[in-house]
Amino acid sequence: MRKRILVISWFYPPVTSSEGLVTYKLISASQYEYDVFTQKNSTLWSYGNKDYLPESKNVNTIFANANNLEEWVKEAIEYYKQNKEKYDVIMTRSMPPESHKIGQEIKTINPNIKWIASFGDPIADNPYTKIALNYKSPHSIANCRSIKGVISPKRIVRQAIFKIRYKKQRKEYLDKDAKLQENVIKKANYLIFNSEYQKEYMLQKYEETVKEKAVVLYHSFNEKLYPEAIEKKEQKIKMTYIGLLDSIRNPSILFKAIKELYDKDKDLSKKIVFEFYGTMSDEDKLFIINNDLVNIIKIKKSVNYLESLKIMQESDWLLQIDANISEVNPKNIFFAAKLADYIGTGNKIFGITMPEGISADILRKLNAVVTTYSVENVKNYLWLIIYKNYNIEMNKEYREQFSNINVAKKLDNLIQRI
Amino acid sequence: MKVLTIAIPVYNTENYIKRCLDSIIIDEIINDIEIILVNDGSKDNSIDILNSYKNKYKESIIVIDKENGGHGSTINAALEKATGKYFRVLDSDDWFNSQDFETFVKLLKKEDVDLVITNYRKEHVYNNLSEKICWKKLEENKIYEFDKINLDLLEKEYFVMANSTYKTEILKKSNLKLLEKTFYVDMQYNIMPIKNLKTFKFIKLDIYRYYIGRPEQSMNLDNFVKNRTSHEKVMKFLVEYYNENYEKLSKNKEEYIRIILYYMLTTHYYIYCVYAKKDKKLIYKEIKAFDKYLKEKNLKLYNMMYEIGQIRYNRKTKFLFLNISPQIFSKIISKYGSIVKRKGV
Repeated sequence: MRKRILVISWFYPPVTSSEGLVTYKLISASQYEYDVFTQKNSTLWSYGNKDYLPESKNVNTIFANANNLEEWVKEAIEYYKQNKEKYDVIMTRSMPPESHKIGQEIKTINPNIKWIASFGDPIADNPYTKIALNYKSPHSIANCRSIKGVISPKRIVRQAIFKIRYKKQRKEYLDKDAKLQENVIKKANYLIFNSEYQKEYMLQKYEETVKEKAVVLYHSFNEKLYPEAIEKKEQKIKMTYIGLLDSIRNPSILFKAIKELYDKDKDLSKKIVFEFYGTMSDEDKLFIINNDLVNIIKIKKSVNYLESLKIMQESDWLLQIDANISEVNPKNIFFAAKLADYIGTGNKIFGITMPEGISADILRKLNAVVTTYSVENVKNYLWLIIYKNYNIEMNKEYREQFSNINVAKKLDNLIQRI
Repeated sequence: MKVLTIAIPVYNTENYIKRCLDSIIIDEIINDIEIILVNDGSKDNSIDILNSYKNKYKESIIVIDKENGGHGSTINAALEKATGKYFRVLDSDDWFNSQDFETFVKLLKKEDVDLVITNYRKEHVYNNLSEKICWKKLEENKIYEFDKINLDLLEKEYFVMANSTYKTEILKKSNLKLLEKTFYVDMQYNIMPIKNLKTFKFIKLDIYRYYIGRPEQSMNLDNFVKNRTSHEKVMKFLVEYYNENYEKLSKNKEEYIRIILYYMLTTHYYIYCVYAKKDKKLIYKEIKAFDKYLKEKNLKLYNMMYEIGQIRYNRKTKFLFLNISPQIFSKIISKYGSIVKRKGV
């Protein structure tokens, strides 16, 4: 008898986020049948709830009535209790990590159920969160605008209190995450990671028996979702970035490189345009304005997933920008899901990433451009592209590793083993 | 005849070699240059990448695939094969600023001085710091006769691999054979050609991008300690070289080489007295022996090192308290300095 799998994921189309799309592409290409317990009332942390993607015959979605995460967790557990006979396997997918809490609860209800826990990003010790949590106090000396402020005893006392409180809150927050991750890693029967780097990072303290439960499934692209290729109208080079940027994952290196090129060539906007779809920090937006780069760097509104694939396909180069997390980890462990969609277009990719890590590895194997966080390095490649017609041939054979059909085969192998 | 040979030593740099090669392969100048890629027994896939570039640019790229012999052996191999009028080294984890490099090759075609120097940058990997190293006092495009210049013009900078393009014949005439299986042989490269150098010119272009901060780099401070025997081997070679040659050299050349040796010796003592944190007993023995060696071989060089406070102090204390921090050291000096100075120098 064929196994039936219950997937528990807060995000799933039409509510999209990178995690929901990853799940969608993966299971829609699988040979197995899935029920996805999800929701569409809340757009919390998502890109919106209107991404109606083609339905797959093997996937049935169950939408909870819940309006928030807490209710959703309860409803999911209740759903399982009433339908436990139907399922051989459950697959919980973070982010958010609450799906794994549901997995834990289901495992308690039915210890015989096989549980696959899939991790988008690390829950505990997430390098990105670690950097983000280095929050600057409002009473910090850095915020002082006068000597009076620097020497103010009031400020000094407030700063000291802030530090103590913040340290405590931060510890509580991090401990909670660490405990959840530890439980999931120990109790789940199988663990899915999106790269060897992520696996190594999250399982470094565990023994071999735990590591044996781990499977690496790359993020994937779905060939069928891309529109027909269209002919390029514009003569100038178009470089596109799609997705979220913030003060940690930021384009400042790229912008500084563009500025230096613009300083030498005021006609740069006739030769190249950089389009950014999604969010960006105010600091980076101001950089564009202050340096008169508005005709070269364009910030566009967020678009839905299918539209984003069309934009990717129409671009000459796709920009992959990763956060520099070297202050907390020497290697990049984050495999951005959009990179798989970029790969699917077959277009050229320009990466700004850490010298070691998953993005650099993939981009190098694809024969894409890999630059590190060096304005000089980025500027040099841009110069070659703009003025010397620098070109690359993407590695088509390697691209296939990211096709959802091939990635889903690995998932099917795992399920078959269960 | 190609105007320039670029020697690229390659050892396990599959992650960086593409950036390096992309930066120098420019249609307008590719036929003017000769690129000698020397694979020094890499264990990764570097050789495949080198061969793929060679297949695309057969007229300009030569690949030498040899057993591991160290950085020096790769430059020796490339120099032996070099046919370009000029010669320079580009490490495979570094790169050139393509725009200035293109201009440089075009200018080099009209050039005939023994050495052309340019500016360069140190690119620090993890903090995105770009440190520009410039010649400030030298006049652009002026032909200088080395023996006639005021050495102050060089402002404590000297001719290093990253800023120097030598005439190939000058390097060959200098019998430049770098030590094999040894780190820090660039010190030899910085000193040995000076003997035959007559003219040089500064071209204000900013070409070399020196990528700093990979953990396995020999310039990493921990690696300095780990590879200290290599450093000692090269230092001893250069002290002998100085002893053999200083009487034959012009005043400027002797002084210039002595100044460089002073910098290099300072680094050497610092490896033992500042950077080393472990194996104190061994370190103590080694540096004491080296200090004795230097005193016996060349008293002038030995005495010159008294200028460095750390060395002065360590000699006075017979290297017993090797890596006392410079802060504590200066406190001691301010308190007891007069005694140390009086007796030391």
